[in-house]
Amino acid sequence: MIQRLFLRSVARPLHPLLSLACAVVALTFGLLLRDVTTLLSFVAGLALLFVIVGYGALLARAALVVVPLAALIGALAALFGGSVSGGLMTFGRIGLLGLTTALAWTIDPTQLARALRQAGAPSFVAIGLLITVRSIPTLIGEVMRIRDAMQVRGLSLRRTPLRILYRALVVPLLIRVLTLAESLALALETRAFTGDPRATVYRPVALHRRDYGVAVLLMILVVGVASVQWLFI
Amino acid sequence: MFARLTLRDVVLLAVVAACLLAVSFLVVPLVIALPIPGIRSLAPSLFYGLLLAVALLKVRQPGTLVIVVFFVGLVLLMMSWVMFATNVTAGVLAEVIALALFRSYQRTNAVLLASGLYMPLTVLASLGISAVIGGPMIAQFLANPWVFVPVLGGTTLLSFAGAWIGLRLGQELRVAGVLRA
Repeated sequence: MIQRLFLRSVARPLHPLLSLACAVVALTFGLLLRDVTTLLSFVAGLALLFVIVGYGALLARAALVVVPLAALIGALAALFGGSVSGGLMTFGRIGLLGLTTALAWTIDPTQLARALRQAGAPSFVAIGLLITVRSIPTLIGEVMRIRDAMQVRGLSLRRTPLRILYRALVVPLLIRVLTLAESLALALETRAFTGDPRATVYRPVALHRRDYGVAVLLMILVVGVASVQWLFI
Repeated sequence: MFARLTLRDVVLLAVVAACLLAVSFLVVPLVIALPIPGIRSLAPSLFYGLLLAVALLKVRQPGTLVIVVFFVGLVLLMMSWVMFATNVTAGVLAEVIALALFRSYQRTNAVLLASGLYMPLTVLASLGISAVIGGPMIAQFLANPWVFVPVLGGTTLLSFAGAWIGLRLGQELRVAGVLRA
């Protein structure tokens, strides 16, 4: 649900593997920075990159959640850690994590599965990833349905003894998980998804000029910040 | 690793991975604000032990645990590679220890050990990865063993309890004809 929210705020998403790679590179590099000013400059540069590639709406949505959370945790870190720079460092790292998470969550799982297949990943990896992502809302819905069924019978999650919760919640949920997996596997088999490595991709995902541009801009940002850190700090 | 598995196995493992993620998404936000190291592993450990035990009872192949946590890690990779690395490292370690002792998952104790060990190992793996990328964080954890050791102990206890419940549940489901290995 949250991922759909992020996806909707991006009109033209980047190549899924590139988005993932950019998120990984940016987070790794940011976590390795030890200076507050450099880290905050890198996060600001990353935010600017978001605006340049047309992810401004995404940035605004992510900032609504990330900035207050990072400020709260940063303030707590400064309070308990005893230093303002420690609090700012925490603020910067959470901000960075928020930005990279927002970037990675613009990836459409279907496109990612296709890109993985094109990149030569085993088809079971792509199918597994897709099923995992798509099943999460279904399973949360199942938990809610079981909870509703419990409430109809006068049971609540908070006040019911564990022994009864096991019978009323865990057993039906696991039976649903197993039957869901069975029916999903049957549906895939009837559509000839057998994990054949010769299977082709219906709609190939291609890299565009914009994707190369983003990769170059990110590299410039990383090299620039690294140079400043080594030369002046 | 995937060659030995059928499509049905992969689908089941992916659905179990989704179930683990759903549990995390429901439980972890309740404790995320608590400044206790390892609390994010402690909170869902009972459910992780239970679900992993059921997955291993259904697919008794070497590599099953790694595949489930790999699927979980792939989704977490969309948030942070640190979480991916923590999960996969812990999964590989748990699987290696269980298979080194029992050779396969045919014995129930192997299933109990692998599914029970996974969550405590995520606590240790996150410590190791934090040591590499976070530097002072590991020192902070190790300087406060009175916080860290109870959390690790609690995670181990809950995880093994979950795995034991999973084994009992697996027997019940097998009798009911729902779980066929």
